[in-house]
Amino acid sequence: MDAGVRALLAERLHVAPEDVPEDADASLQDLGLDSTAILSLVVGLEDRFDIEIPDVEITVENFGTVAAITRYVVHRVAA
Amino acid sequence: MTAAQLAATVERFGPRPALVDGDRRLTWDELGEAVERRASALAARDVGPDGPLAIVLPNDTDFVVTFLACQRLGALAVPLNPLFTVGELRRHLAGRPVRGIVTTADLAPGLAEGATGGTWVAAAPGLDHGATASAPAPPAGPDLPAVYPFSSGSTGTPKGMVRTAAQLAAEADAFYDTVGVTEHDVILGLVALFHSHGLGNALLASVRSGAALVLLPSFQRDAVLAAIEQERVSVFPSVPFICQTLAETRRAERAATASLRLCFTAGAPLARETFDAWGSRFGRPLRQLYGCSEAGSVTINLDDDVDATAASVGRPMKGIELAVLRPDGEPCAPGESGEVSFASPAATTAYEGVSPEANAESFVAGWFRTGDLGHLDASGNLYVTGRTKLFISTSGYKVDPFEVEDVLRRHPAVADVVVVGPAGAHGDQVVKAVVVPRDAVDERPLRAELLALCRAELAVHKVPRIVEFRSEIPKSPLGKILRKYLV
Repeated sequence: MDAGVRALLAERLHVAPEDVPEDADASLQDLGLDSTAILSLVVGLEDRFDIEIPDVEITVENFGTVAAITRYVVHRVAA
Repeated sequence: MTAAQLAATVERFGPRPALVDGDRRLTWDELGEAVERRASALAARDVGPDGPLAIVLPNDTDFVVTFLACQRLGALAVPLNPLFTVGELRRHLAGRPVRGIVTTADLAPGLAEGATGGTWVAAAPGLDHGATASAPAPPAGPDLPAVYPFSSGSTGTPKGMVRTAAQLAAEADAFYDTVGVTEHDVILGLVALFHSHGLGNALLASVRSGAALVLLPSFQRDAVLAAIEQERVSVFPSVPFICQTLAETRRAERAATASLRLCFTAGAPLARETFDAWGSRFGRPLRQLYGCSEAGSVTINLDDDVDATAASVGRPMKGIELAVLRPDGEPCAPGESGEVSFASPAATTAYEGVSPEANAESFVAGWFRTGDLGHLDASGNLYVTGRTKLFISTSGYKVDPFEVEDVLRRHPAVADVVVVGPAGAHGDQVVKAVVVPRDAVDERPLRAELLALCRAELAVHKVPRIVEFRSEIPKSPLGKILRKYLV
């Protein structure tokens, strides 16, 4: 799951895969994860994992780190 | 004049809906009264033909009422992005001192701290306290200053210009006559009203036609879909990023969007992929409009042959002459690439704060040279293919690379920097900084410091997405930066 999230992050943010921090708890802000980048990531996640992400749940808490995104997607897939 | 267009619309459509802003709904009668009261409050604070007003507000009722109150008073309105940092706001206002600034309750204290030269700052709520129901008589004359837009310039300083009341009225007339918006339409006011796209194609279009305007302060997919469904939105001025995101959102298919008769993008090239995705998601075509800060809307694609002209921004609006010119000023043949130029009664006639020579390059005998590259097909449809200027189009915004470079250059470890816009997904660009460090440095912490500096000084869409370190910037033998090797 982590790997899938990382690949999607690199793709949607147009950064090199090695620029996605190794530390899953590191802030993604340095990658330029602003609101438009998060939205682009969100539609990618919805498509790849066949889930629906309500806009009210698009928060820094859910999308600020690789670990947070993975946790959130797992929760959504299970829901 | 926009003020006269508002008065006529209030007269014709008084009890019909004018504005929807969350739970707040105003009829044209009510909007007319609110504008009159706001104009009275602003006049008491010396806003008028000699007292310009900055408007730093999101898309809300206060923006609409304040902007229209300026028009009612013949005062120049200077709308600015509420996401700007205080430093950016100050830079934009440096060449155009204003009498006052109307903003949100949240932004007012920070702006008051940075305000200079006796400029007052007021939060929009509460501005009308004690205001009378009618403002001083409007001044006469079509040449009253109306709005002060900014163009992304070729230096770090934003390039401003005055557009007059007559020019704004001409823009609204051209859109009205060309697109055929009526009082039965509902326009979605999602794109920023402080920008020429939202101002012209949402706000002015609504005032001119009597169509209701549904305001949304920011792009959230569920809020947009709910607004289209509940308010029966029929006209949706948009940008490619928003359309791409909505088209990729599967639950959009369940939303009732049959009311939507016209959605068009502006501000960035529309990728074929986005055009196709939108068509298959919503069952109607996505069209393109072409405009600029200097003149508002210039062309729109309403061609019946939707598929063949998908990449075109269409033909000129009524009253506008369009040509693609060779460097010697002669018109190009169909299919031949040249500089997009037009003559429009809605266009400004000069930039402020630039040399007469620089103005003479852009404004030539009543024609505006856009700096965009394009060509016309045999039917006169315009295709915009590139820019002779260097702005970066990202998420519906135009980023001036020089402004970002100026900020990055302030860091002591930066010897040289160039900001470029490599292609991202869906025809969008990404802001990328190529940095030459002064000495051998640890790149990761420097990257973090540079991004922190940008975040403190620049609106978020201008902050580089990519920071690349190099030992030197490639330059031509004449010292010209070879940007193509940096993207």
